[in-house]
Amino acid sequence: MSKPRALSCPLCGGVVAPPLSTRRLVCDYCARPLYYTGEDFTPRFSLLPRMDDADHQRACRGLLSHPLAPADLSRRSVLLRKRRTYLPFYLLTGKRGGVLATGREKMATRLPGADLTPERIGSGSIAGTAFQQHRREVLVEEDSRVVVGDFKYVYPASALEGWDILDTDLRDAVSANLESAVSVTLAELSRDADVVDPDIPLERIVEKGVGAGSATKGTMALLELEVAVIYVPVMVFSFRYGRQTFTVTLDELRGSRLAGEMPFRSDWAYMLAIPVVAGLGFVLGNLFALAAQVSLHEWVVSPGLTRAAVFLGLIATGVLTIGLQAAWLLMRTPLVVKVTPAGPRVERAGAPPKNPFAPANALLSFLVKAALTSKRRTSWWDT
Amino acid sequence: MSAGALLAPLVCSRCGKDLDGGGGARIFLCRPCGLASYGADPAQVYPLRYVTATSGSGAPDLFAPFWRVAGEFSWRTEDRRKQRVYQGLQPLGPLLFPAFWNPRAAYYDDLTLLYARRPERIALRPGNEPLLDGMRHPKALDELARLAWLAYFDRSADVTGVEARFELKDLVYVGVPFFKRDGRFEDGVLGCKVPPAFFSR
Repeated sequence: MSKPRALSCPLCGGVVAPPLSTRRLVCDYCARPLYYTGEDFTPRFSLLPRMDDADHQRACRGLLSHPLAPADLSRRSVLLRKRRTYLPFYLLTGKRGGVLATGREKMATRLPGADLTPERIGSGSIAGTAFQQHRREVLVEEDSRVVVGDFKYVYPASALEGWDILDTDLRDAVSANLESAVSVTLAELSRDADVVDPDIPLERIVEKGVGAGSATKGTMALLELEVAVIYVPVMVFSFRYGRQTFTVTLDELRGSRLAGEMPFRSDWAYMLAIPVVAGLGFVLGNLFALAAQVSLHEWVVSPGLTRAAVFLGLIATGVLTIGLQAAWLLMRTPLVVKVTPAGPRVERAGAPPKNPFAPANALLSFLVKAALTSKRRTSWWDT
Repeated sequence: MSAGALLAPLVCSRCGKDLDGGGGARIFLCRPCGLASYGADPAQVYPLRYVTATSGSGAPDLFAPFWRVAGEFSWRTEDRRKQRVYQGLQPLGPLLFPAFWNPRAAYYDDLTLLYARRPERIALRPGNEPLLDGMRHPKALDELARLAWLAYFDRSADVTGVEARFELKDLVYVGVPFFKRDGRFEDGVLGCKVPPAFFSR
């Protein structure tokens, strides 16, 4: 059933707005207290942020000056927007209870043809029997356990994929900080923050979460179920760096980094690519110097040298192709620094550019195949 | 259901005065009549009483609402050994189940059993002090009471094969006094200590 847009006061007939945070309402016309009896009502609570401006600055400074980020990121970044956002979570609490039939394991000694009823275990007749006839067995005795258990589940009430947030990160934080939950109205929350609406149907959460839990417990019955929405504060920072904009989200309950993306320090790629290219130059230079020591005539007439030349040529081509491709990929692949609760890490932001070394790869592949097959038959250069 | 039927006036079914209760409450109080009602249902009306503080000094810092469940617990088992054990147990007094919302609900059962084992300490009186918002629906209280008794029995002898039922005789909405001591709360009945988060207003 969809929520009514307006209700009427049963006492004076005046129009009353539907409740948002509490079932208790007051009629604007007759000022009498009213109670909303609809089943679709869910109380709302909020967790209190534990970070102030100084904490925000400290956290952002630490992120922007991270070694993986550009060296001038903290200096050149401009804060475009800083906005608290409340993410909704369902808090399902209640009681589940029942008498569970559980078995109690007990070690027993079995005699051939002995009665294994629990009353007979360990009796004198068994104790007096010869040792060789004893056989130890595990018996399961009937046993029950009375369980009146509280349960508490926290589930995201809104799809967090768009936020690039793993819900387990925040669910743990919600569970650990429930002590600071305070009753709120949406008006209070939205005064200085954005509020994300719950968009995951509660029925699905109850069915998948609590229902599944009850089923696994066998005879456990759901005695009570209370549902509340808990709003969790996160702080979203938007920065501009050159032509790029990026956002970082902080968990304001634990003061930790939650999600976001930062530019990658691309000079790392160049700094890695330069030694690769330098190494290539060194290897190839030495190969050519080696080759230059032998005269052209000797290369042609000596089969051993010819083979060596082909081998060296293959090695040189392979090293050159692989090295240049590695350098190319390092420099041209779009990389970003992903902010995660575990710490920043480098990730590929998009597909790598089209490989310009494809013809060289094909040639190298052909040559390697030829060299491998030549071991099984006469080499073409021997004929 | 029409939109109008979704709203009920929060007035006492006896005296017609406005009922008292906070924003998060589902249980509302009529102070002049000394009654509590769940929602706005006039059919679900219960006496409102307060537990007299027997420990702690001065005025309590808050009163937390509990359902005081009194009734008759009966059981049957063929096992003579169990019969002897159960008959030798100290009978429990009325069971007090918290009626307020609490994120750390595990403390419920501890207090319920502790209070039930010392029924002489639970003296009721009329009162007018403010109460925390009550939320718990009383519909499952008889089953909770049955299980609480069975759990008590199970501590002494396994309850396999024991048939038990609880017949609810009397249900009272009571305010239990709590005192704030050194950043924690201490109840005014047995002096049990609970963290401040026990009461989430």
